[in-house]
Amino acid sequence: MTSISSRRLSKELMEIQNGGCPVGIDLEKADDFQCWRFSLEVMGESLYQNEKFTLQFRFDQQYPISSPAVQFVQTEGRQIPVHPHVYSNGHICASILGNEWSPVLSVIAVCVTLQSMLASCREKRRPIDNDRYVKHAPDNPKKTQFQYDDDTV
Amino acid sequence: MMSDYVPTIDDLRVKLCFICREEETYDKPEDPPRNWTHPCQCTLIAHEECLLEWIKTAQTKSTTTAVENALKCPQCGARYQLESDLPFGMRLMNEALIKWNVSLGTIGKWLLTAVPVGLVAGVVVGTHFALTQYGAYAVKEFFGNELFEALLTSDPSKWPWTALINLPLIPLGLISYRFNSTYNIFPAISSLLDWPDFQIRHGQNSNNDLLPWPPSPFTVGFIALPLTRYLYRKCLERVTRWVLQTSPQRGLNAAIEGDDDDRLLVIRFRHAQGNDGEPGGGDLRGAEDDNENPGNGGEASIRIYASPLGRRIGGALLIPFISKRMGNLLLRLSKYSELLRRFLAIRRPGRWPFSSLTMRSPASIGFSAGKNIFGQEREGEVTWRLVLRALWGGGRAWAEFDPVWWRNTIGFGIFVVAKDVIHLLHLYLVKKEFESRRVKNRDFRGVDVSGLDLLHRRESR
Repeated sequence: MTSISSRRLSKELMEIQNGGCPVGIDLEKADDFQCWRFSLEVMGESLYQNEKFTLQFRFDQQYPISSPAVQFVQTEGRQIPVHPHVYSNGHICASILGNEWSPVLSVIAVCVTLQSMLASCREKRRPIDNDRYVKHAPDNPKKTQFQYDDDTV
Repeated sequence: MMSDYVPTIDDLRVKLCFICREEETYDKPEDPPRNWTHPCQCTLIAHEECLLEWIKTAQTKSTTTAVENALKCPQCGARYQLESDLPFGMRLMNEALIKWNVSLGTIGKWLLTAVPVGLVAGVVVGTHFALTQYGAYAVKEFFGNELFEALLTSDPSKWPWTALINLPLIPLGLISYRFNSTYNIFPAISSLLDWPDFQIRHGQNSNNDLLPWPPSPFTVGFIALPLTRYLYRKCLERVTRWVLQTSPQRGLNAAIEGDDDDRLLVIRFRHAQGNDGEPGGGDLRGAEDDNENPGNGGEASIRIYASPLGRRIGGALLIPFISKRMGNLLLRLSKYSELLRRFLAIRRPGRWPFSSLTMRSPASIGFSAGKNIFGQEREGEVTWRLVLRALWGGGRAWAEFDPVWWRNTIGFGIFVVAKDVIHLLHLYLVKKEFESRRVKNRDFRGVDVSGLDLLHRRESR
């Protein structure tokens, strides 16, 4: 018996395979319905020119009712992007991954949102509380209660 | 043509749930059928089941913003309208639960304040009980069983309400009396509240003597004792000065302070500015050596050391006990002296007018006493005589009892005097020892005498 989450993910996967990803986004790994990986590039002029990042999605059985756990990961030759909303452990402080997650969103929609988040960055720096957060951060970024106080960056 | 027709969800050819992304086409309905819903103002539609699950999940585990977000369309922002027919029972239970929670909260808050208050109240009540018990014990010891029975009775439930104020004041009064040499308010309150019922009990058969012996406790307590005490202290001061040969102007304040177990005696001689120290307290003050004179310039501060504090309190609380023992001693001695018997007003056994006194509760005595007073005044009895007699004789009520308190007071006075004498003797011996001290003189045996510049050298034999 297939769960809602796997049925929905298989549909999303099919859409990706049939229609392809938006520019700068590529599906790198989708062997199961637990963990997917995408490569992410910011197109056009930005602070992240010639940089490529790996974005990881982890899904639980309640997806899409519950949001996916999304974070950047360090892989061969790819670093965690330096961004005011991205901690050095890859955790992302973005409201659509927490409070504002909605089942109408999809994996690709999240990728596009994060891509534009990087694109609109004006200063490459870590979050102010990076060291403190990274020291005590849980493995799953969904367990963190982020304060989404800054929508402009 | 179809301008008036507003299509509904049932008119869609293909339905796509925005939550599970499942599709359903009009010609291939699902089996079993699932409800679809169009909850907002845009094109998003969903399975009712999926949407309710989404809302329920958000409501059970997320933050308030997440709940708000789940209750509106993610695309157009229209707020979902939820309908439910709340069964009567559930509504009732909801309200009951709310009430229950609110009352639990109230109870919790109440407990939060009640528990400390209760603890404090417990301590207060416990202290009050202990003090009351001590007060009753003190009254019993000092005034004797007979008077105690008449005043209070051994059954606390019969005590007048004033006893609950007066009795605890007795130990407090005794203790504060020990710390404060000036006239103290506590015993005064005590006696004023406690005895009026009893005091004004003028005899139906008028008493013959204007000034009965012994005087009433009021005369003793308010006039005789303070006066005696004052005179005694003056006297003691003089005697002390005479014995220790110190000048009044720059007196040597000899203080002897025992430490905890009184094995070591620390002797200190201090120069006092004004009048010199007075070893020993006043007549009622003293079960121990009390060398601090509070009026004494530089030494004015009351010195409270751990052990002297304990000794003072202990000494204060021992007063009734000591009084009783001393009173008993006097009673025994009075068998051999008619004069002492007269002075102490000790009755011969069998002559106590116990039978003539109808035992009534203090309250009823007070009541009848009040009536009597008014009656007598109306009959034209001279008021000053009443007052005088009340002050001096305290009415028949006191006279009708064996004046245990009188011999106890005298006994305690003797105790204090004896104690002061002993203390003074000790001080005197200490002084003598100091004065008789000599440093032993030695010759130069063993010293190389050639190095000494001597007046004239004697040939050694």
